[in-house]
Amino acid sequence: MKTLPFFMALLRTSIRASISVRGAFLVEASLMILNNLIFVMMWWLFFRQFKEINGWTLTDIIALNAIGMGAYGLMLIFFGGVRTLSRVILAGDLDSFMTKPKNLLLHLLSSQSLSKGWGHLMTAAILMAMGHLTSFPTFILIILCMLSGSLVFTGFAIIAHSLVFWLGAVESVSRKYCDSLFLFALYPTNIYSGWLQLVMFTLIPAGIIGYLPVELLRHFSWETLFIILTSSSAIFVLAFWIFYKGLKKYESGNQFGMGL
Amino acid sequence: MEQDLRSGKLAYLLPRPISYLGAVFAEGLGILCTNLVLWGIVTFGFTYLRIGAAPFNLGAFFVTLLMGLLAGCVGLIFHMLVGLSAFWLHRIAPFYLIWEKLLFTLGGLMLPLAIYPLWLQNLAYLTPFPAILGVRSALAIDFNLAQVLLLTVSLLFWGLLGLTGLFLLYRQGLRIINIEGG
Repeated sequence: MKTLPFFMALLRTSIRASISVRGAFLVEASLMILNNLIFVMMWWLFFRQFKEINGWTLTDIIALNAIGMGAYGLMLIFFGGVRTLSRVILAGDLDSFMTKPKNLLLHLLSSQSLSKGWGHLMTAAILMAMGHLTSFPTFILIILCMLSGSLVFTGFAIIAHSLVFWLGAVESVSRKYCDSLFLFALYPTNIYSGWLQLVMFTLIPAGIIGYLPVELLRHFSWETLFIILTSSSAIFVLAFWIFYKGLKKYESGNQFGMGL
Repeated sequence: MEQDLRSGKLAYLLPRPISYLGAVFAEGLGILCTNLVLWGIVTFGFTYLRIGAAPFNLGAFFVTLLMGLLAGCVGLIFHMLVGLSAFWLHRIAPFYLIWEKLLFTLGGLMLPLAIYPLWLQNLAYLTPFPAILGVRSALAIDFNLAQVLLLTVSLLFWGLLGLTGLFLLYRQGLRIINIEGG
């Protein structure tokens, strides 16, 4: 029960830290919006020539991007520390975190909040307005899907970065894996077929982040909602389990330092 | 470059009897050549497996490769320009991402430029992106010498422009370091 107030306090501190250099924060967030909108513009160009992709229209693609970018933004804001998790493990910097009587992984994840996450989140808001996805039920569903998507992003990032416990210095591989998950989440999974589609729901679960939520918006069903929420929670729990399993193999860096 | 500037490593690199920009370019060129070989084997191999033939003759293949290398060098110069912005900016990653997205979009990688509205096509051809990516890649499918000549002139123009900008910005950046102490 003490974990939630700790998490909230940690989050407040990291968010404050991330926006403390106001100029840099605004520049980074605005550039991220511009970057995302350039990407969405490509889809607009595509749909000028082709009417649909397997039944999906431009509005569905806008919803997909809004959910994907929003989920990624939430991960960067709430669990920004996950991006440097493998570096912390490899450098033996877990020591200072382990000595504290708090949830270790949560502490690591929320010790950093990245300002570009706000850029992704604001892009999601702009896209929702552009795609007229603002009716109350749609809005609630999108927020739910963004939250579950951020759990999937965070969960798979934890798993990818925890690989360094067993495999050693594979930090760049972990990073590439996480980046590719974000990339694939912004494309409709129904363009793939056969085993590639299976990959999109297992090894690279982009389908759970983007495809299923859009299908939910297109044709609401409690079953799909249940699948989205349970699978994302399961991935998050599995990630915690894998991290703590790997932690048994952790070797201290024996470094002197000061934690603030 | 961003790391060199932020960590202060630049201060140790500057007194060396080699040009810093030259060293960065040479390092980038090495990575580029390795990537070209590795990705070349994968992509050409995959294409050959899928279509069962090479869509060009051997002479055209080598000219296209040469154009690819030249385009890579021009891209590298512009990458370094983005890197130099670290003299003035806190983080350059967003700029790099925007450069990349513009390269993919206006360069014609994700979608061929021909399907863009005319105003956007015209806008794209006013930038270095099509020469770096789309136009030289199109040579692999539709090879003709006139296009090669036009592309060479275009790449040389953008390369020179990029180099001029690079040296000017570098000089300005060094002044900041001298004034503010790095």
